[in-house]
Amino acid sequence: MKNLLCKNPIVLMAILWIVVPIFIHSNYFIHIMFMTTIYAILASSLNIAVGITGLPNLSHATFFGIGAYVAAIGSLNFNLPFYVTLFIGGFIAMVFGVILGIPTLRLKGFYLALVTIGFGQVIRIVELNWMSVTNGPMGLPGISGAVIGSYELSPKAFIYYGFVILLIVSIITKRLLKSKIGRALMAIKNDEVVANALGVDVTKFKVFAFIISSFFAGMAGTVYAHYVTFVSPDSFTAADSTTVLCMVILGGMGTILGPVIGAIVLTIAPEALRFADLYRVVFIGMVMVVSIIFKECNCAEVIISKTKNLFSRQSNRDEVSLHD
Amino acid sequence: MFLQQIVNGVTLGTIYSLLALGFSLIFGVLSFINFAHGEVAMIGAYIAWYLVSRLSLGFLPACLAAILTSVATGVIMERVGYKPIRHSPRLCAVIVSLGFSFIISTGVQLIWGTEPQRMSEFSDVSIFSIGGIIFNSTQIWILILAILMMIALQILLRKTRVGMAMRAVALDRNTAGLMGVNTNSIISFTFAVGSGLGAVSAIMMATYYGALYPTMGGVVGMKGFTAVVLGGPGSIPGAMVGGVAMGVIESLAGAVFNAQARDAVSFIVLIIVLMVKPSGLFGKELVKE
Repeated sequence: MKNLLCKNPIVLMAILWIVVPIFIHSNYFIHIMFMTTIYAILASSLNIAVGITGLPNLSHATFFGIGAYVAAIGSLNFNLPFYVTLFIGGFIAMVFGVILGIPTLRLKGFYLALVTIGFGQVIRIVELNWMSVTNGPMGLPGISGAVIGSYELSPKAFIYYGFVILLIVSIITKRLLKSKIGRALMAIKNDEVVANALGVDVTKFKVFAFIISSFFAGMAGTVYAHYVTFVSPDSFTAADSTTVLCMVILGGMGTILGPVIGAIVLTIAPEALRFADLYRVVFIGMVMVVSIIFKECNCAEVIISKTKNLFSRQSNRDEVSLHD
Repeated sequence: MFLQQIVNGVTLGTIYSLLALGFSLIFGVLSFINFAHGEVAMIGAYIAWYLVSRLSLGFLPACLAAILTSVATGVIMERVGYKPIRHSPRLCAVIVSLGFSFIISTGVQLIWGTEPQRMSEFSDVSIFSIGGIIFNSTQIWILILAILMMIALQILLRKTRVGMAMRAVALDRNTAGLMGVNTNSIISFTFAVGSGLGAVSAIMMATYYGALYPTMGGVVGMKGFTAVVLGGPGSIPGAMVGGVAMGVIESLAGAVFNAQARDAVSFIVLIIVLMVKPSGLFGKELVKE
C-alpha cells in the first residue's frame, strides 16, 4: 500500500484533497485550504516552465493576475458564467505568454528572469493606470460567484473545483515526464546546445512549455477571481511570483508532488503568523533565505546522516554488548 | 525646456550610475544580480536621515555612519546568504537575494513606519541659471561627488593590488584562487565597495527628491539593474553610461508623457535591450562554446 502511494503521487494528492475538506468546518481553514489549492496549481504549472524546461519565470503571478482580471471583466461587463471565463482567462494568459515568450525565450538564465520581472512590472503599471478597464488601484469588486443553474458553489466546493485543475496539471506533468516532448524539454534544461544538435527545435519547445505554464496560471486566476469576487493589482505582486518560484525550488524542481508540497508548506507556515501582519513578510523572506540555503547545502541530509551515525553507533554498541 | 530635462536627467543618471556600479561589481564576481542591492542602499539613506533629523548629528558624520551600516549589511548578507550557495544554480541565489530584499524593506517599515519621511538638505540651496537652464547647488554637488567617486573606483580597480585581485576574481574565480588570491575576502570586499556606493547613491537620491520611503530600495533598484543591463553586465564603463542614459530617458519620458510613464519606460527599455542586444552596450558577447 505504501509503495503504491509513493509510486502514484497523484493518488496520494487526490486522497489528501478529497478527505481533508470533509473534516474541516471553520471558514478560516477552508480559506487556507483553498489558497493552498490555488498556490499548488500555480507552483505545479510553474514547474513545467522552471522545473522541467529550466526557464526562470519571475512573473508567474502576473499571468495569474491576467486570468483573474479577464474573469472579472468577463463576469462584470459580459455576464459570462465561471466555466466560460475559466477557458477565456486561460486562453488570454496563454496569449500573453506567447507575446512575451516568442521574442524573449532565446535568452538564457538570468537575462530571461530579468525580462519576466520587467514584464510583470509593465503589466502591473497598466493594471494600475488603465482606469476605464481595470478601475486602477481600487480594483474590480462584485464579481459573480460560481453558479450552475440554481446551485452556487460554496467555498468548500471551490476547493474541489480548484483541485480538478490541479489534477489536470499534475496528470499533464506526469505525461510530460514520460513522453518524447518531456524528454525534449529536459534535454533543453540540461544543455541547450546539445539538445539543438540532436534535432530538438529549442525555441518551439520552450514556447510550448511557457504557454502551458501560463495557461494554467490564467485558469487559477479565474478560479480565484470568482472565489474572492474582488480583484485589485495588489493581489498579484512580484512578491507572489517569487513565493511561487520558491515553492517549486523548495519542493523539488521537475517532480510531480514537489511543488504541491512546497505550496502546502509555504501557504500554511505564514498563516501561523497572520496576526502579525508586517512580521509575516519578514518571515516569508526568512523562509525563502533559510530554506534555499538549507536545501542547497544538503543540511537535511547532513543532519539525518549525523543522527543516523549517532544511532548506528549506539546500536553497534548494543549489538556488541549483546554478544558479550 | 529640452536642455533642462537633459540636465535633470544627467543628475538623476549619475545617481543611478553609482547604484549600477554596485550591481555591476557584484555581478562581476558572482555572476548574478543581487536584487537586495537597492534595499541595502536604502538602509544607508534611512540611517543618514535618522541621525540627521532625529539625533541632530551633522550631515557628514551621519553619512559616514550610514555608509558603514550599508557596508556591514552587504558583507553580512554575502557571508550568511550567498557564500553557502555559491556553487548552486544561480536561480537559488536570485531567490535568496529576493528574500533578503523582503526582509530589509519590511524591517525598515517596522522600525520607521510606512509613510515617506522628509530628508533635509545638507547645505543651503542656491538656485542659479545659465542661459535659461536652471541649476541648484544640490545638483552640482551630486554631479561633482558622483564623478569623484567614479574616478576613485577606477583608480581602485586599475592601480591597486586589491583592484587587480577583484578583476582577476571577476575573470576567473578558480584560477585567481590558484594564483594566491584570497577569493573569499575579495568577494566580501567587492560587496563592501558595492554596498558603500549604493548607500551614497541612495543618500543622494533622498536629498535630491527631499524624501525617502521604504519601497524606495525596490524602485531605485529596478532602475539600477536596468542601467546595468543597458550598459552590459559586469562592465564598469557600461554601468556609468547606462545609468546616465537611463536618467536622461526617464526625464524625457516624464516630460513627454506623465510620471507613471517614467517607471514603465525603464522596464520597456529593459525588455527591448534584452531582446535586441542582451550583452548590453559594453558587455562581452555571450557566446557559449
